[in-house]
Amino acid sequence: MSLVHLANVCAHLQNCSRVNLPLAHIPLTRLHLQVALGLYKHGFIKSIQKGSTLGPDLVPTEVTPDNISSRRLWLGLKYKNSKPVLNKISLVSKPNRRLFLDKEEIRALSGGSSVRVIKPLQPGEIIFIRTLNKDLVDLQDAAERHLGGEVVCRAR
Amino acid sequence: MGKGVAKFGGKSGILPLPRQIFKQPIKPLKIEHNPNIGYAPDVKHPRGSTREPIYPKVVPVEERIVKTIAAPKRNFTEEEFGKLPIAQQWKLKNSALRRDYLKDSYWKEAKRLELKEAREEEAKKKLEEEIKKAQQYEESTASKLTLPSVEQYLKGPIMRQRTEAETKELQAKRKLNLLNHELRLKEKKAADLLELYNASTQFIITEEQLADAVSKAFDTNSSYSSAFSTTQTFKSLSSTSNSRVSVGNDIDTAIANALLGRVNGGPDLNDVKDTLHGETYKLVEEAGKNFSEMLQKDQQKYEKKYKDN
Repeated sequence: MSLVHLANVCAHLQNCSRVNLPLAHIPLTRLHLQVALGLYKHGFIKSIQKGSTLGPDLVPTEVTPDNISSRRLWLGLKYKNSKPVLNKISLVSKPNRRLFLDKEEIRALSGGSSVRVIKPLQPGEIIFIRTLNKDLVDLQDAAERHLGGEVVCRAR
Repeated sequence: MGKGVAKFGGKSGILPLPRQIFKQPIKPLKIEHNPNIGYAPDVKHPRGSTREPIYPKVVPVEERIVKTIAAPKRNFTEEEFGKLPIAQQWKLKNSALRRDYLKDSYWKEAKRLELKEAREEEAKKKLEEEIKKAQQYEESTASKLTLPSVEQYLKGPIMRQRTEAETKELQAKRKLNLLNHELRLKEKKAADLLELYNASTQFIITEEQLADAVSKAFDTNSSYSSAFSTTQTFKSLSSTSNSRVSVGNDIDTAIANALLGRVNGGPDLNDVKDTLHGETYKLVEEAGKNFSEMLQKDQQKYEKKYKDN
C-alpha cells in the first residue's frame, strides 16, 4: 500500500511544481519523510516542515493515533529562473512490478548500464533505493556501500 | 546455439578452453551442506539413484603419479644398458625423459592450482573487508550539523502509541456510545410500539365496525341515494381531506397531544414508564392524601366558625 501512496505523492509533487506552488503537503509516513529528506539533501526542495492539513505547525505537535490522519509534511518547492527544479518524479518499483536489485545489479546501474527495465541515471537525476533494513539511500551511495534493495523512485 | 562462429557469438579466433590436467580434485573439497538441496526426511528417493550426492573421488598428486607414471619393470645396469641396441637405448632414454616431464608438470600444475586458490581466497577476503568497511558508513559533517532533527526523528517511531490509560478511556467512550445508541434505538422502538398500540383503538376489526365506517363515509344526509349524490359526497370528502381545515385539525391534535403528553389519544411513553415504575401510583396516592388533609382542615375551620357563631 505504501508504494501506492508514494505514487500519489510523486504525482502531487510533480503537479504542484508544474503550477509553481510555493508549498506542497503530503501525508506523514516514514517513507514519505525519507523521500522528502533525500530530495532535500540533493537540493530538489527548499524545506521540510511538519504540520497538519491546515498548514505547517506553529507550535510543536505530538503525533498520536488520534491526529495521525491529519498530519502532513509541508515541502517548500524550489524554482530557478521561473522553472521548477523538480521536473519529474515517478515510481520505478510498482505494486505490480516490484524491482529488487542485488548489490551487483546496483553497481551495474550506477556504472551506467541498464538493468532490467531501469534506464541508467541521467545527469542531474537521482534514484532512491530502499535497503533491506528500510533505510532510503541514493543509488551512488548504495553502490559504494555494496547494498542491494528495492528501487523506489527516481527524480530529475 | 548455431554453427561455426555463431557458436561463439559471431567472433572468430576464439581458442577452446584448455583441457584440465587434473580431472579429479587433488585435495578434499570443502562442501558446505545446503539444507535446500536433497530429499526431505520423509521423502523416498527414486530407485537407482542415491540419497546423498556423489562427489568426485579425491586423487592426490602422489597417487596419480604412482598410477600413471609407473617405474619400468626392469632396471638396467649401466653395463647392461650399454649392451642394448642404440634404438632401444634411445627409446628407454625418451621414456625416462617423458616420465620426468609428466611428473614435473603434475607438480607444477598442483602448485599453480594452490597459488590460484590462495589468490582467490585473498581477493575474497579483500572484498569482504571492503564491503565491511563500506557498511560502517558515517555521515558527512555537513549533514550531521545541518540535519540532526530529521535524522533523529527517523530513528525513533513516527507516532506515539496510546498509553494504557488513554486506551482504557477510549474503550470506555466507545462502550458509552454503543450503550447510548442502543438505548436510543430501544426507546424509539418502544415509542413506536406504543403509538401503534394507541392507534389500534381506531382499527376496524369487526364487520359491524366496517359497515358503520362505510355508512359514515358515504352518509349524504338525504333520503335518496343516487349515483350523483354518492359522487358528490365522495368529492366533498376528498376535498375536505386535502383542505387547510384538515391540516389545521391535524396541527390542533398534535398540539393537544404534545400538551397533554398523549400519543394517538393514549398515554405517552413517559406515562407508561412512570406507571411501570410506580411513580404515577405514588403521585395519585400523595394527591389523595393531600386532598383529604385539605378537606379535613376545611372541615375543622367550618366547625370552629360554626361554634364561634
